[in-house]
Amino acid sequence: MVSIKSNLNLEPEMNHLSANPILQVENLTLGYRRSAWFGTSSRQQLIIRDISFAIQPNETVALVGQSGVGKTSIANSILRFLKPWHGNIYFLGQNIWQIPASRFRLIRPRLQPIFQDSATALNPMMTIDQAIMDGMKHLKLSHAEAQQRLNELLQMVELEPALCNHYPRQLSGGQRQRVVIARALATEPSLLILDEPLSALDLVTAVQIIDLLRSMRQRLNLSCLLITHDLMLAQQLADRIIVLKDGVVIDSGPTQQILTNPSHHFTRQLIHAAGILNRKT
Amino acid sequence: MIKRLISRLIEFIVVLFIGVTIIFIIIHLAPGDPSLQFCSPTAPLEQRELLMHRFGLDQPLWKQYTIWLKNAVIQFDFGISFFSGKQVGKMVRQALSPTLLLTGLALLFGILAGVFLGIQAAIRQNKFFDRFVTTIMFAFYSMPSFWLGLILLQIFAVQLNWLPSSQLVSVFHEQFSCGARLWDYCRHLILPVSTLGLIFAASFYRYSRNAMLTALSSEYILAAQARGTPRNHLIYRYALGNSLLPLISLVGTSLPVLFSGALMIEVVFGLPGLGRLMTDAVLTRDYPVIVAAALLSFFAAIIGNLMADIIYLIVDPRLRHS
Repeated sequence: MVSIKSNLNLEPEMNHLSANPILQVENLTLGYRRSAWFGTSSRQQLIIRDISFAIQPNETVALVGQSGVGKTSIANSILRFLKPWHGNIYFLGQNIWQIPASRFRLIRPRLQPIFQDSATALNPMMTIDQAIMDGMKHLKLSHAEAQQRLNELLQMVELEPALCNHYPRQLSGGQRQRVVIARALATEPSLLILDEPLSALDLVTAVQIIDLLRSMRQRLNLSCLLITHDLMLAQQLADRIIVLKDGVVIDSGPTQQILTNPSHHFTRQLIHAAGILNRKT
Repeated sequence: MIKRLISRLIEFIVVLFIGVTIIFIIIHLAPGDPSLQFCSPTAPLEQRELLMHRFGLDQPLWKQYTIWLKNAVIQFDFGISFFSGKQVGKMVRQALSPTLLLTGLALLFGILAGVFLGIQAAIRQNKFFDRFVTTIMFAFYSMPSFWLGLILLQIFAVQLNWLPSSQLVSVFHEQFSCGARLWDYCRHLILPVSTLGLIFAASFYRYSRNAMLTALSSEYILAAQARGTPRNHLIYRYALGNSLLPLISLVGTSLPVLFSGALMIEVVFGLPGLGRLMTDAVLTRDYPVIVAAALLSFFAAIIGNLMADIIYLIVDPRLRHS
């Protein structure tokens, strides 16, 4: 693994952590350019301004903020779907926007997203076993090995093997989300990007998935980037929280510190709102 | 799957029966008197009654219907044209070949060109190619077919004199060699097929581009991309498979056009097809011809939908397992 640059502008609370983070986001600025008719002119919209953070091995970091603040854009940029305007993203020591696509494809399976809507995250034409085995293709396993790994993954995410030949629409939301997690784990990832993973689930199923994600994290030493607007979910899963507002980081630190002693009034508002919701539910 | 097909077939027969009945009743209840095509409005009543008796129109509607249904179902006899005195079945068969040739080729061209360009434009969303092709296709989609036909006629037949302006064959067609006859057919068909094909292509283009864009922006495609799935595999195996399914319905519902003919195109290019036969029959109140031609369109609509269902069952694994 190539070690990343040591002289980075890290958040203050991360300086004491390992020098080899799984993910290092450095001065990231993101936006969208939309060219007008036949590309004669273009409109620009800045989304994220100069943010930096890192995720250490076996650590979960939550990006928290209101809808539309640009959390998913950050995830898309980390997944190399959205090119940054400025800044660098290092994953496993590789500057993912500088290396050739062919080289990035080799490390790509180590970086897996889990999207919010499991109904659209699974190919409707693929059965459950096909979907999960699709995630193992790059491992070049024999059929027997792939089958064995499939069974292990199903057991890990607590899914009945009998569901293997079902199609996504035949499963419940919770079962589908377990399949999505199993498919992501099939690639043997180092980092999971959880983009609002519970927002499409009912409360009981959400709690089950939280437990599942927690146990996965511990068993497989996974690092996670949790993207959510829900501080209570961040409290359940994250070691550290980064709060975003208007495209910049306004608060960041260990989860307990953010929840008990927030430095920004917007964070206090989020905590207050989450508290009200929590009492109501 | 077989059970499903049998139930669809039963539905098909019921719908066909209801449809035929409605067509027959509507056409016979429509205003207009076929006898007026053969005698003046001031002609004696006995003369008109004689004609009505000859056409079988003096009988109650239900009796006319049962006679027609019996002849049509048992003997495939659709009666005799009031106007030409010829067998309707033969007239329809004769008009069917030019129409099928025109609309079949145009539909094939429309599907191939529309789907191919739609996929390419979706892959290059918001790029110059996408915007250029979308603009052109939108123009074709908005144009009345006869107007596009007249423009092409003006350019390629009148100004440039490259292609013939009307009919399916030249006057001396029979004297040509085999190859020359084929070329003669092609030259006569290029303009009408292009006109209708471009209109079809615009429709298929919109559908396939939108379906492909929806598929490409789906999270399962992003997830596959994140697993390192090669781009061509993503586009042609994952996205295309899912986005082409709705097109089967579109092709199925387009099938009636094959039989009803592109009326305007046949008129503009003087093709002796089913569309023109039907127009003439409507103008002369030639009931047997109208009913037979309408029945054919109706039959094609149902067959088209049935075929779309069957193709769905074959290509969509989810339906096979449900």
